[in-house]
Amino acid sequence: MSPTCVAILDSIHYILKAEKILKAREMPHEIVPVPREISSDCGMAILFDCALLMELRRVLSEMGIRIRGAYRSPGSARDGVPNGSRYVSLTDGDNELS
Amino acid sequence: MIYFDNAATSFPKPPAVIKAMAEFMATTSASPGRSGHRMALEASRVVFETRETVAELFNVSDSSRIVFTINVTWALNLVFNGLLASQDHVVTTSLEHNSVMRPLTRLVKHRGIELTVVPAGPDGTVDPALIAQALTPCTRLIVINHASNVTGSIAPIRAISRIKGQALLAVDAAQSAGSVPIDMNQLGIDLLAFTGHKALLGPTGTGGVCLAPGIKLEPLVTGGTGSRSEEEEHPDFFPDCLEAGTPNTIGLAGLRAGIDFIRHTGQEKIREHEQGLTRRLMEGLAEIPEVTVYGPADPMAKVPLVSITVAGFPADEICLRLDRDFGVATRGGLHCAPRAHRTIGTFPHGTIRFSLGLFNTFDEIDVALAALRQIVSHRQSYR
Repeated sequence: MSPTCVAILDSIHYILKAEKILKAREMPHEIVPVPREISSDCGMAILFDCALLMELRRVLSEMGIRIRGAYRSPGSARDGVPNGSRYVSLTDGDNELS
Repeated sequence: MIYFDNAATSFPKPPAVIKAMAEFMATTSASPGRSGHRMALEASRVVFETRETVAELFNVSDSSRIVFTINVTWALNLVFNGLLASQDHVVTTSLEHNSVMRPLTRLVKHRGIELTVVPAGPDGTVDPALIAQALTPCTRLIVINHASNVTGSIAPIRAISRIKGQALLAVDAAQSAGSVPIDMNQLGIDLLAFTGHKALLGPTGTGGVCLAPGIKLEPLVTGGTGSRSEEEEHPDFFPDCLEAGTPNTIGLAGLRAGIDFIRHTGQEKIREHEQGLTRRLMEGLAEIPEVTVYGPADPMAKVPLVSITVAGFPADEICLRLDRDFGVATRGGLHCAPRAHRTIGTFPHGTIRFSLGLFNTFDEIDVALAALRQIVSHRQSYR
């Protein structure tokens, strides 16, 4: 399995908007609390297979949804639970994702 | 009781609204957008889906630009306080409710905005040409009651948006939303303020404002949003930038069910039924010589409410007798819109308002008309 990635969006509104879009496109994902290693934000994040990163970015961008940050976990998800304490930032924001 | 006070708050609500609220309270009543557990996530979904539902109803392309408030008054205050600066000019009409007139009057006094109140006609109609004449290079905002809560008259929003120039157009849809189809894009509305507890068939404590793309407002309140919790500055992205504190999630669950009910029933069908009721009521009232009816004569030109006076009777006496002796609930007085009553010549005593709704029947109209005829014809026995 590919490593697990986590995407942070601006607020729960965009998380749920993204969820709606990803469900419609049958792109596997989970909505999970933002891992504390990434942010002290009390919001939610999207957990997904890193192989889908570029597609996720494209799909959300088409809908005008900004990805605030994307992170890679060194390990795979265990039953949908983010794994590992060291998340590697893939971007400081949307610009660097492309 | 025969309930003809739907312009204040609609009653009854569809059973689906009550069910949605009861189910929310029983199963989902956690804080939306805060904690990370599944119940909180479900509560967040209720808020999100309600925003999406409102967006579909009013044809708002980006649901994040719908800001929830506790009613339309709060929404209008957010618009005026969040948009207007000293020396900005505002154009409105003499039909406006106190929810528009009072905050604007306050901003004239405390913030130095300038206000022009364009007179409506004696039947409650607004002439777009008069609005156009009132515009100046400093006009920042035009504020229009989509439908008057006194006369029921529907304002020509599309015609006004065509002549607005660089000014923004704010529409108070308190009386129209749910009763008259509203397409924000098609009508050229920049700011659409609505309330949930009238024709949208939701509970009290719900409402909001839809913002066209590009419009920014300063917030009326700031505080917890569940987002960017590490920062002490309020976030700048929608909808969080204009919302703070735990929302009325149970109310929004009800509002969503109310709008779903409207969409399932069909807005055109609702409009047709309400116009039929209004026509029956107006025809019956026309046969009572003591009654004067205000507002447009054509039910097509109004929302389903009819304001009247009865010669020889104060409004409050008619309302009291209709309620106490016949079980018919109406509303008498100034309806929080004193200038509208000055416009139609019924200030300071006001009118008796029959405001109809989707669940009213033709039989109820006939009962109310018979009651009114009886009150008028037995005048002596009442005195």
